[in-house]
Amino acid sequence: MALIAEQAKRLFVAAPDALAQASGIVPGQTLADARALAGDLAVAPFDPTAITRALDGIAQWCMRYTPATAPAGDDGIFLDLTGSAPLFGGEAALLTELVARLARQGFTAHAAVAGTPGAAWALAHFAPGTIAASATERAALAGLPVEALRLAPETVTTLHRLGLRTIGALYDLSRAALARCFGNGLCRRLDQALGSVCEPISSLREVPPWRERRDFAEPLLQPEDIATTLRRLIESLCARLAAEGLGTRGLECLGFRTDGSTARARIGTGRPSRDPAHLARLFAEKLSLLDPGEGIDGMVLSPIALEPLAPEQTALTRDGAQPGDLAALLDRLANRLGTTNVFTLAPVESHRPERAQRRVAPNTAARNLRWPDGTRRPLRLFADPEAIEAEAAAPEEAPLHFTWRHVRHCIQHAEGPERIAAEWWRDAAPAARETRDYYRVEDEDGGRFWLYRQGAGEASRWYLHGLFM
Amino acid sequence: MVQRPELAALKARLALVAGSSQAGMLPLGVLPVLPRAGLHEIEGDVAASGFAAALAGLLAGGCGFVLWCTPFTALHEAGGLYGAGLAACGLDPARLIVASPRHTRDALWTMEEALRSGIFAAVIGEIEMLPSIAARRLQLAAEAHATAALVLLPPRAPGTSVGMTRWRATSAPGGAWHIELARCRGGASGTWLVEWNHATHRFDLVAVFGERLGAPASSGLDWPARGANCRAGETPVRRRA
Repeated sequence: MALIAEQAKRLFVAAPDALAQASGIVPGQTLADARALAGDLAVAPFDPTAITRALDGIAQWCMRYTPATAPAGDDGIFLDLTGSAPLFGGEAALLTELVARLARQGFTAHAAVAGTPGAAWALAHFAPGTIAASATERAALAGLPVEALRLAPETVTTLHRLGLRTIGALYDLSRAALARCFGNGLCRRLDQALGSVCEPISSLREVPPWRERRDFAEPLLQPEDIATTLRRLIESLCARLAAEGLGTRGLECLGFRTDGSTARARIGTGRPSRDPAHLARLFAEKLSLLDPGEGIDGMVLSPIALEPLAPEQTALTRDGAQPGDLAALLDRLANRLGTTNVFTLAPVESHRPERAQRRVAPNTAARNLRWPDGTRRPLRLFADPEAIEAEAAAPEEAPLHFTWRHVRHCIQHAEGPERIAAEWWRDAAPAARETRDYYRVEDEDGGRFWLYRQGAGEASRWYLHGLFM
Repeated sequence: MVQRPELAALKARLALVAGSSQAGMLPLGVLPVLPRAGLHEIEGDVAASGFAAALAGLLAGGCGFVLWCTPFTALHEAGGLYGAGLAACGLDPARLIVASPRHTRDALWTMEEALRSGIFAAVIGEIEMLPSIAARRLQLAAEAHATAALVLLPPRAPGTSVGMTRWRATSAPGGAWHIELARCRGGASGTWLVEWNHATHRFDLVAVFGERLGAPASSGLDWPARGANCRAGETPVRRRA
């Protein structure tokens, strides 16, 4: 089996599998040459985007070992193991487990550990399985070919032509000479590999240093077990947050399935929290996202944004309920209904009735805001005024009857007009800049409506905007 | 009229203290007292919204919170809740949390969560169809946490026999409301023609139908006599000119 790519109208082998390589097929061969070596070679098109996707997926799965993972080039993944190796019984144990788990997913992985990303890359590609302790990179890399330095192909060719085949051979040359012949690229790569220049790993996403992790010898299959584990993760995270006087604005839980896929669930809170019961309850609505599938063998919980949170809030409201209870309930509602669907109404200075109020987050609602005199305003207002058929005795007078939603209403009593001018500084559309004449009308059954006429004379149109109680 | 929120709040508090002689009961002036804990069904269109807003304002007494669950589609169908109008009904929008679920299932869940939190003085929900099981759950949650659950049903919607009361509210000519207490656990039904007094935040009687006619308005603390049902075709008598 080999993946093939087209280049200059000829088909080349891009990636042969182990069996094909055993037949002597190497990347870069033409398909014709490869077929000559193995007549029954199966081929499939080489799809770089699919490979990038797969690599991203594996990088995300690797977050079970450390929050900082990043794809490296087009065939590797960097893991920053700072601080996390002891959790897995040391670097060697971690490496063995990582390769074994990937093998179970069907990936052949070569891995190595070193003090710098450059050295780790070199060892993984040319001496897999090596664990080079910090500050021993120089010795570990000395015997490796120069290709291990992630160099441009032409640089490698030139080095070979000069007889410089191993990294060790470069140690003895003067850096000025190297820089002169090969530019800064070679020196930078050498420095990165040896650790004299820092090379940061650009992690997939910014992850706070607060995370809770659990691994399971036996994969979890029952949603109840997932929920119990999640609860424990939340409790231990909250205990740490309490010790530091911090609260989180949300949590993300990753569940690593045995098939290599990652389950993910997020919750948000309106204000910082570290109440395990509250946070666990928010997750209760999202547990379906943590579907174990064929089994989850690792879980990680991380806070989304941390903020200072005073130790305890004990002020009581009238009913003996704590203010935090309201915030907790609002979080639960917002998590299920959507953040924008839980709100409080606040008045806005505007002539236009539809602009005279806005939705604000319940926690930010300012008290004692002055509302306009409500006796002349409806209880319910339509987001889009509904066009109606109405008739008035004279063009500028109150309407006599109107038809709304196929029902004809005879007006017994009308008050108005209340003239509401357009806010020309806000409205661009000419229709929206017309003045409206509002009438409060009552029909024969006592139904009370808020109608308005827009435009003048023959061109005037009638709308129903709201309903009075 | 100059609005005096502090004054209104004080009055509401006084009303609360005055009503505490009957624990767990909300005096409604001319209407029968309303048990604070339990499910109340209110049938009707915008008049029912206004009645519920007024009841919630009285239940909150100027210091409690109210949750109003209005469907996502209300903005275009029944109309969105309008703060100025709510304030006129005596319900302070700053103490009102509005939840806007997309499904009845979510609306019932929201109401139950809100009732069980014990935070709110009243929880209002606009529900298209209230199954008996859902009504029972709301009734239990409302009773257990001493909160009033007000379910707004569309006109002529089939009701349940689970709740404490069932009301019918319709607009009446002259700015008044027909309020019918169609069913009441442990009390009698009745029909009243009332007006909402925007200044005092209470119901003023315009007329009463049936046997309660002539009873002094101050006796509103008691349930009306049994059998005070509205008789069909009866003309309301105006008590005030």
